[in-house]
Amino acid sequence: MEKELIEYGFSMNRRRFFTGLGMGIGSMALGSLLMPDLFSSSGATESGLAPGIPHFAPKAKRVIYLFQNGAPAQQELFDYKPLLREMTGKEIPASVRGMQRLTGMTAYQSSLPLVGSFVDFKQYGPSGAWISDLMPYTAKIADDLCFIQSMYTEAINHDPALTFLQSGAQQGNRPSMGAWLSYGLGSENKNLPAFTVLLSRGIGNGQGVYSKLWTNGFLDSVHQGVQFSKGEDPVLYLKDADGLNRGERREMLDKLAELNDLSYQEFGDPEIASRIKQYEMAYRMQTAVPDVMDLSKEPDSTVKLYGPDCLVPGTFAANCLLARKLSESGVRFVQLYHQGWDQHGNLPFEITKQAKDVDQASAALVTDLKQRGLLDETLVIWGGEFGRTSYTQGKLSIDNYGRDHHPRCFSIWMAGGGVKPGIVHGETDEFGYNIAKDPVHVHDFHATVLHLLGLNHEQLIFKHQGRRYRLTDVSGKVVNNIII
Amino acid sequence: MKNRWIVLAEQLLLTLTLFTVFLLLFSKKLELPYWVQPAGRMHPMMLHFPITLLMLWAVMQVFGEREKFKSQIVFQSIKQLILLAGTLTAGITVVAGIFLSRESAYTSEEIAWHKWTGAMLFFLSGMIYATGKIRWTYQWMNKITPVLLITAVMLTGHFGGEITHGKQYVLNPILSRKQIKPVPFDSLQVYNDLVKPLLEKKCISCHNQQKMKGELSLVDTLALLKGGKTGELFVPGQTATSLLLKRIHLPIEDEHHMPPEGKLQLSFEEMNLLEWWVKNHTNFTQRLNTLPPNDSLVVWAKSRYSNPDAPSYKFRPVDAALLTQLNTSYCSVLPSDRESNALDARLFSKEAYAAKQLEDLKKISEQLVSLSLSKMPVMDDDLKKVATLKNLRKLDLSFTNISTNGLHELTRLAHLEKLSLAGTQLVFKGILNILRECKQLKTVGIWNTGLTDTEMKQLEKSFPEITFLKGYDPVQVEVLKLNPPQLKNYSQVFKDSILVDLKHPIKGTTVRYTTNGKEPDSISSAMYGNNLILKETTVLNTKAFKAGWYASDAASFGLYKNSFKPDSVSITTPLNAVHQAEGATTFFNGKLGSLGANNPAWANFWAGVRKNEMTVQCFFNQPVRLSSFGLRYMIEESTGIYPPGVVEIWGGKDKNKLKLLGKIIPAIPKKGDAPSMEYGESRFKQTEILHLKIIAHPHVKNKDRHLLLVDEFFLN
Repeated sequence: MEKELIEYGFSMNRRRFFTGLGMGIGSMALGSLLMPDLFSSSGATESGLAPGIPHFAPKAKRVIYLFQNGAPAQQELFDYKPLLREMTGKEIPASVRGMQRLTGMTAYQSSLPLVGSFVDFKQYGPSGAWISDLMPYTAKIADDLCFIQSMYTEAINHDPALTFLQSGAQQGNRPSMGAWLSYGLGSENKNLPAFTVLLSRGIGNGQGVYSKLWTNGFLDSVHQGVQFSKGEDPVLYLKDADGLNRGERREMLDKLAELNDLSYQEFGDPEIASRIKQYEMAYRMQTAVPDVMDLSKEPDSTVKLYGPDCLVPGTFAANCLLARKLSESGVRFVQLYHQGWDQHGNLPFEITKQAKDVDQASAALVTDLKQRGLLDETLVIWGGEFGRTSYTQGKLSIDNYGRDHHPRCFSIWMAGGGVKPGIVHGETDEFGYNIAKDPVHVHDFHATVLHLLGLNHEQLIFKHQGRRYRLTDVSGKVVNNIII
Repeated sequence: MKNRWIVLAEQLLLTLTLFTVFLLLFSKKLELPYWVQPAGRMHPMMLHFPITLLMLWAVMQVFGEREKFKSQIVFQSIKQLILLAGTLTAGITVVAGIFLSRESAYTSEEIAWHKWTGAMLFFLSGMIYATGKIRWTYQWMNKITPVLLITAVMLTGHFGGEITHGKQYVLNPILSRKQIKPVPFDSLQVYNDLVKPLLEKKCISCHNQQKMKGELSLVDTLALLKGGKTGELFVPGQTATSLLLKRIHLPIEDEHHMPPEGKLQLSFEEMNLLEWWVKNHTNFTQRLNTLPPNDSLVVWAKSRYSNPDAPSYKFRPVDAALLTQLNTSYCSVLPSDRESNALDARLFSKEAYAAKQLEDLKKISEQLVSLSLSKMPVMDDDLKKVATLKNLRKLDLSFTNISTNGLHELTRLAHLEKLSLAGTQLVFKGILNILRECKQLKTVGIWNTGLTDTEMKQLEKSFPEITFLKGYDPVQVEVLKLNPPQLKNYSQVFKDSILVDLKHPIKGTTVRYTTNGKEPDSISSAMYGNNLILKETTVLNTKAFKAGWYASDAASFGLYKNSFKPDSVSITTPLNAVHQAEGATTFFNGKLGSLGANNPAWANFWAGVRKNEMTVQCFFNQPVRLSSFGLRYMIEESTGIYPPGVVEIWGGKDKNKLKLLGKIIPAIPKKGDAPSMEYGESRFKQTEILHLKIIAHPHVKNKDRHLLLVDEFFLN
């Protein structure tokens, strides 16, 4: 009891006290004038996820983010730089490197020799996008893709960069992009969380992926990402305990809700209301989740499309297939992470494996959404947290080298959801080291994604501890050139 | 009332009249000094005074005829004063206007009407003032003059407005609305539908057969190709030398900039359109649908003609309480945005589906534009209810229980644009009707419906304006390689025997295996059933086969026998910080490690010792008869994970008198070897023991960076 009292003390601060008071009198009158449905909807929806409304007509309704964790080397995948091959072994010119800070891993390296890609590139589609031979399936759907060659970020190490791309801030504890979307747009399907997370891992050097990346931050905890894991229990603790049947469960939840409600009446902490809603959702998820996760009924054509690994739980291919199923069921934001792109050394071997892990399934996801008529309302994003250097890290040998972290430029692609198909946006210089045209900052990227979903990034705001927060902080410009 | 200010004003009026006559007569020969230009540019400001004053006078004049005003001297004299002021400012405006007209931006034809009506207005009001002054008036004049004056003001204003804003400026919003009819996208022509309207809007008012400024007319294609005084407008493909592009891109201050300063300018998009046209023009009937779909012009035109941003509908808002009531756990009704009041609805959960849900949606049939019933057990009969949702644009019926019989109900949905029928049972003839009736249909999903390839092609041919989603055809795909079989046993370590549990995720695959180290083949190797039992340590090589697929890569699984588990184990050398695993019990916990152990996150089951020998002691309460010792270790040459140089196995009954039972000397990896996990074993004469001591020495050559990782011991 003592613990609860302390928690109560924390949750009931001066502001909340006065906010509560204010709500009681003046603001109630004003609120009902401004929003006629303010009171009618409060607590009345069964799921409680009072649906948000896009600010303007949205192009995309859902997002699937295929996050390539560890930062894929753009020089080996989508950013073709023939000059690097010619200059392999030569020192990177000081004029190109400029004052760029280096990581601790190469800062003390006596020389920084450039290295060209070990793999060949070809041009595909009307955009003439150069795609490496490591990505044959992606090359086949080049007509549907929009490449951004000029992404850049601020962080130079994995965790801050990843956190930055996910939440618009390097420090963590801010709401993740999926949580913002869940907050801004509401849930489409009240039987599944609006924001789900799927993890997989390749052979390469893995970097940590932690639940702080899908946090709701200061937003209501209903917006938190829910991780679906690969085992028999995709959502942990969802199953009824042994000996408990559905009916008993229902009864238990009803009683629990009554108790929670009493507590809510007493303390007025909104998190209690959220807790009640989450129990209810979990109850409905008990039937919805097994339905979505069941891959046994997928036809042979699907298996061939995504590749045989799609039936092996925990692989990237299986996660892509699940992502399609979740998205199709109305999950606003499906976040995949595929670990293992951090090729500081042994790059040619590892990146070949990594590319093989993701190529077919990524392309399959786009194709599959298209055949279902869902691509125009689903935005697919593929990319890592930063790029890799044009010079080698460690020893350069004929068939082996590595690349260090490089925040100044990297390549991603997007498809569907109102993004122009078959285009390449932005350019890097011929060393693939600096951006030559149309830079896209992480904040710009966020602003654009929100725009595609019908949200004005400057209006999607949450006030917390006296400050108004946005996903794009105080910056961000919509990249109109990539929008249909 | 006669004061000297009025006299002064009257004299000024006379002067202005003479000056205006002079200007009108000799304006063509007039060369204006630059310092007069500001006076000319006062014209757009000055003109408001005569308009207001003269109109005011006209009104006063009309009411002034009434008896009660007629006798009022004050009223009459104010009226005269207003007329004087109006006439005077009209004169100033006319003079300023003539100055302004001498600036190069205007030609005499353009402003002729405005100039002469303006001058006429000035003279007319002057004359009215003069006749009033000398009281040379008739009754009829008092009635006609205000009408004349108002007409003159309006005419002058109208002609002036046309110069500044272009013709039909006021009515344009109404007229142009009529002009932009929804053109089916596929019939759009580059010149007629995109370029020509632009020229008409912003160029043709000066460059037509009558005016031909710069001797250029843009009215017809022949004249357009001919060009003007300065030369040809463009040669297709040559953007750098095009006169047209040069003129529109000049800075606005430049006197050759087109359209001239003061005229309606080209937007950025319009400039891009002209540039595209100059670059790619082939002929005047070039159609948009012959271009690649992602061509910048196609993309632009699409946004203009289909305008996805602004939906063409706007509905009355739905009552919030109704919306709340309709939103249940299994039915989402969401506003599509904050502008149109349109709603999207979706049903979830097969179990919760009831036709009544559709009936409820009828309450929002006006606002409902999108409905997804995908995977719901919707029957043909239910479609009658769907058909009442008259404003539906999008309808998803994929994987429902409907058939072609119910489809005819939907022909009532006049606005339907997107219809998904995937995964339902369709009959070719049955769907023709709806495709014909729903004229707005653009996309129809028909995969997995039982329609044959030829039937789908037939549909595409008959309805070229509809995009059919035909699904992904696996037959067209190259043969893929199967993924390798998986071992599902909880532990790969067993005591007496193990029932091997091999699985393959894809149905209908055959798994074959060998136990002799060779790679399995599809003919002679043993086929895996569910009854493979192993009794000895075995390396199982497996491969999966299936018709229509390439065989998988071989997957090999070590299954290890361990007969004796010591009662206690201790390790005397400290373990590496990240390779603690489960301490001394690691070696007998039945858990095998995997590759990638150099990363803390995945060090998992490996116990590791750096730069030192690993010494492990095992104790038994009861003597055991040991005849072999085995261990598993990892090699990753590139990161310094090495095999032991030599492993010594000491055993016996007396702790202090252990005998060397055997040694294992693993092969040293070569530089660049791929990482691997190895099994080393030593067999010796069966010995009864209570104590066992294992010492794994690092390799002499690599002592400095040596890291030894071991996950399991096997005692038999």
